[in-house]
Amino acid sequence: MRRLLAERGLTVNRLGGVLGNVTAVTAGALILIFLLLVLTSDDPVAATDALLSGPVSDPTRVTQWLGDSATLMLTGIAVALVFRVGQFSLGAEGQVAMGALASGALLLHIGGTPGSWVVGLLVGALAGFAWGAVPGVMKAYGNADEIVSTLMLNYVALFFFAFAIKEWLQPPNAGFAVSDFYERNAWMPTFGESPVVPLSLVLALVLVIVVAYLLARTRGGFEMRMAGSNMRFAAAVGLRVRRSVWLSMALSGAIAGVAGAAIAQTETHRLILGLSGNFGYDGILVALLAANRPLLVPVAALAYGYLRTGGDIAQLTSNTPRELITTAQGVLILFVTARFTGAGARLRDLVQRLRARRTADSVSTAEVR
Amino acid sequence: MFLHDVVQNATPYILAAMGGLVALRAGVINIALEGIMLAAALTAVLVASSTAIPLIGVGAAIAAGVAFVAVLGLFHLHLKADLILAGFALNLVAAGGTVYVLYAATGSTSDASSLTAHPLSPIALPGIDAIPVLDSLSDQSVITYVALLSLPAVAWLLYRTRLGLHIRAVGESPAAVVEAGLRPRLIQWKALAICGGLAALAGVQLSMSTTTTFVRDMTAGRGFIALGAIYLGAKHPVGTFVAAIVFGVLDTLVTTLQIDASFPTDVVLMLPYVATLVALLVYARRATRRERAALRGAEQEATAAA
Amino acid sequence: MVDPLDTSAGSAGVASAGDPPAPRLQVEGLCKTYGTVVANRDVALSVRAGSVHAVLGENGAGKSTLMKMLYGVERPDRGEIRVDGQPVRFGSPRDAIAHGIGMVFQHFGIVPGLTAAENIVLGVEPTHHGVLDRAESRRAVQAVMDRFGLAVGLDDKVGEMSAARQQRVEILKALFRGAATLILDEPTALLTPQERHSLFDAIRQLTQHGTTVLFITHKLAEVEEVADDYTVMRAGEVTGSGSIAASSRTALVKMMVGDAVTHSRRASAPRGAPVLRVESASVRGGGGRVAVSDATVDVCRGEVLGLAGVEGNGQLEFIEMLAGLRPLAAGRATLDGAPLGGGENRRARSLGVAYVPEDRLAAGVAADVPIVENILANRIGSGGFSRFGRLDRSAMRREAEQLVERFDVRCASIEVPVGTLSGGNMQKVILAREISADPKLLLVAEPTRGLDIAACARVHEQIARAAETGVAVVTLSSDIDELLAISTRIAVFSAGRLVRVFEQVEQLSAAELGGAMLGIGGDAEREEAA
Repeated sequence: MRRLLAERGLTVNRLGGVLGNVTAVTAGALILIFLLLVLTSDDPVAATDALLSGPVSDPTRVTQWLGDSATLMLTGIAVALVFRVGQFSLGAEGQVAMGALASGALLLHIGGTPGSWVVGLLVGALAGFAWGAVPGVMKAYGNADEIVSTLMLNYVALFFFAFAIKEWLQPPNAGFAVSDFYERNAWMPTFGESPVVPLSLVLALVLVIVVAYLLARTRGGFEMRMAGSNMRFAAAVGLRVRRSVWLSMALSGAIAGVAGAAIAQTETHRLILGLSGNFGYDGILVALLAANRPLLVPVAALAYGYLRTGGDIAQLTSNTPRELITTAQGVLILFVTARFTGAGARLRDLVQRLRARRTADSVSTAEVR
Repeated sequence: MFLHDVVQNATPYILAAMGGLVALRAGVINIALEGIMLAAALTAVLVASSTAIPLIGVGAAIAAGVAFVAVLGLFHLHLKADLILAGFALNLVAAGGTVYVLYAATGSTSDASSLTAHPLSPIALPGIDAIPVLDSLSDQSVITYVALLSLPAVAWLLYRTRLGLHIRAVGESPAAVVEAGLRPRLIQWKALAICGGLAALAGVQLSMSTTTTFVRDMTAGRGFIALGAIYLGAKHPVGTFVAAIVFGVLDTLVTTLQIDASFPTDVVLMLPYVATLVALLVYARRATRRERAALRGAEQEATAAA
Repeated sequence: MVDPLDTSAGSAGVASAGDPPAPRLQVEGLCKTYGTVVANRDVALSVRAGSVHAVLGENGAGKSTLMKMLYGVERPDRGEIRVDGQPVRFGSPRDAIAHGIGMVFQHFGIVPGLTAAENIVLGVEPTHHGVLDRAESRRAVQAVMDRFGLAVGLDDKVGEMSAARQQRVEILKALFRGAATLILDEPTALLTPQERHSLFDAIRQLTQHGTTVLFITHKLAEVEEVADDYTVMRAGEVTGSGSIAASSRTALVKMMVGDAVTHSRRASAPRGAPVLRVESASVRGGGGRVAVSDATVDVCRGEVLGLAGVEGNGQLEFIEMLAGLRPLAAGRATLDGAPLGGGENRRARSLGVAYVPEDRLAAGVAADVPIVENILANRIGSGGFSRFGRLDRSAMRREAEQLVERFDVRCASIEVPVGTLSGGNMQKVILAREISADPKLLLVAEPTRGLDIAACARVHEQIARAAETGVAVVTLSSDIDELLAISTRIAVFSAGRLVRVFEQVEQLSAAELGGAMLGIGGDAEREEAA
């Protein structure tokens, strides 16, 4: 077992090292945030307390944490997938909105039928697939930069979402942009009472495993990974590069679309402005925190979900304006990302050099390439 | 009137894009342009209001912009943080931080209208304001003139100065720069500083000219669009400048159309983005078509020679 | 071979009594370890001022590491470096440059998007308060070019230059900074014989001006031609040093490779039926210009067709067309009757074409991906090892182990990323990948670029064996000696045209082949003379 792990570059030592780094840094960042709150908030202790322990203080809060994390897991795995293929598609936000809109539009008509929630999710996936395929094809066949195209499509999607609700789905007596509530059969099932575990969490975990399997064990996933590692190589060795590019973006869109449908079908039970709630962009963060590795996405999603929920709670319970929490989140991410990719590497480098000095002294032969 | 507004609205796009271009050519993709613009916009209003002198506000804003971008530099260049992540994080910090500071300074979380505004006064250009079309250039803030000059300035910087040469070198080949005995990080720091200054001016234009106060989230995605302008402009000063102006036109169109209530707001707001997409497609299609035409030409040439 | 113009003996110029002058460069007890790999162990080096000193050795022998330490890119773990007798510590290339050491790398030292002039003055540009003084730059660079007799087009973008030109830019860069000691890393890897001679002439000119030249290489013939002294390295240690005049080739080879096999052989198979037919083919190159025009040739089973030509004369584009990476602009190409040249690599592969690209790292492998996946990528791409889309990983592992064994790839395990292998082993992985697909046509661009003698021999062995099993092989190389050693026929490209085909390679001499490469096509000749 150890040999298997060692061959894959995952020694027990290294895992321990990474975890140690993360703990140290998170602790440091939290101290900084506390200081920030002390300087600016009326009640820093309450705010920090809410931030740190809020999500677990109460079953309803845990429910929110789990729900947020499920969505983050979905958008996170969607983004991790495209990033692994070397495509910088930032379109999750728009795909979430389109998925929610498509599923909602359908469910408002067939919501009464039992099992319609499944159809809702499928339609969400289809809409997301299409919305992801557009920049995908533009890149694969037209070499159009995907950063720009997906960012533009996000805006288009969000405006279209608002337009569609206001124009077609808003009931006449509504004071703001919402749709009617979905009927019961359109709601996604949940487990338990307190806390309530949404099915979307299970769905997210399943999709994470599916993506991990796709990338590691299927031919299509292989081609995608090779394209992501070295596109010239992939093209020269006979792999289907163009297919990998657009298909990965489309599949990513599908997953994000499911996330959108899931939000509407689990939390809000209707379409409402701002439904995508930045989950798309946060999905990018989750993917990066997980270093684009599918199996680490749930961990990153739960951790970031905790932070997000904590922030919401801090805003509600202490007298801290939401924006301060947003700032604190930004600061924390800055610190965490520095540790993960940089200072940690320099530390390892230093340790290696010290170890190397010892090896150079000994007379034992080492393998020379 | 319309052209005048176009010039006024294009200014922040131009400045942010030019700043982003300098950083990009040095190999640093600055996703935090949004954040810099916001921070600078707020700083300008607050300082101008308390000192009653707009130009001091501008100066403070530039300092704020440079300080903000310095954080990005610190985390990416020295702590090896992921560039895109750090940029996003900084945008978060700016979005939240500016509202919080606004709240602390004015008690409002929506805008700074409670403060006495000291905006930049428009500068009239006597003589020019009599010529049609060109008169749109008159009655603009000093920032606009800086923006117009930024094209020759940035082009001159990149292609005629030592620093510019180093910037272009480090963006393409940091290893070569090291071998030449230079320090890539130092060069990138300088490029970032220039970027921060220009993006800060973009923010200043928003809060001290187009609007005469600070409103939360007033940058509304312009920082990202500026990035789009750089890519559309093929990462070259002239192309970037033109693309930024196009966005200025679209921006003004949107505002004009919004006043006309017959167009649904959301559709109107969508227009600039759809336009960019189309432009991207066309640009990409034309590039492939050029290649194919060249191939066909070769075919004819070859058969003729045979 | 003693050079009558040997200036090294007297270049120190000191005839006074007393201690002999300190060597220009001296290294003692130098050690460097990367992780668990000892790259340099107790290395000693002594370079006389004004001499040409060769550092000989295989890949992985530690030569590059030594050079990196001499140039300040790496710091030694232990040991001492002395310049003109004074101990020095180099914290960065700046320090090395300050001590008059200049290094000429193959790829890293230049910025492709800048012009030659800009590259040469990078870091020491003449300026007026920060503004580039272009006129002064030109003047100063021209002065250096005139002084040392090396010329390049100052306004040409370096990225579009041939490898030989790029190298010249690098040399000029070092000279422009007043390098008194020039380190050249595998300088002739990409040069034709004529360019090689120009380089050696330049080196001699340099030493006449008192410059000391240190160069790393594995090519013995060249060392004998131009070097005064040598130091041989193997497996991180110095195995011998001295003056070339006082040594013999066999002794040097022994110091370099111990007792390993180093002979390259030609395939000895009867020529079969023609399997590849190319008729009046024309191919477009980069920038839209016509790279190949009206080429006609047939290739038979069991033969190794070598494509010779000055770099940039169409051979590479020709092979890329056959590989399906570039479309045919005119003419026809068929493999066993099936049409080629449609510009689709997948199609070409399905017809039985295998392709080894010239740039290993850029297009030959995915560096951070394990060996097992690299070595089977082509077969997976054509549907192998998968049922209903699912990969059979245990079958993959078994096959990869077999291939690694068969092709003698030295690695810790097949799960290790390919990028950690040496160049030679990486090339073996690529060849294993391509040959194991049972191709009808094997295309190999630059089979042994950057490889040492032993690795070269092994690669040539694989090519010969492939041909002997009936594969038609087309290879291109900028190394004339290599082509002469392994080809059964040689086709010469000049200015995009296939000008000659030599049938009797055994009787062909390097001079004749070199001449044919330049012979027709006045443009090529003029370009060379520049």
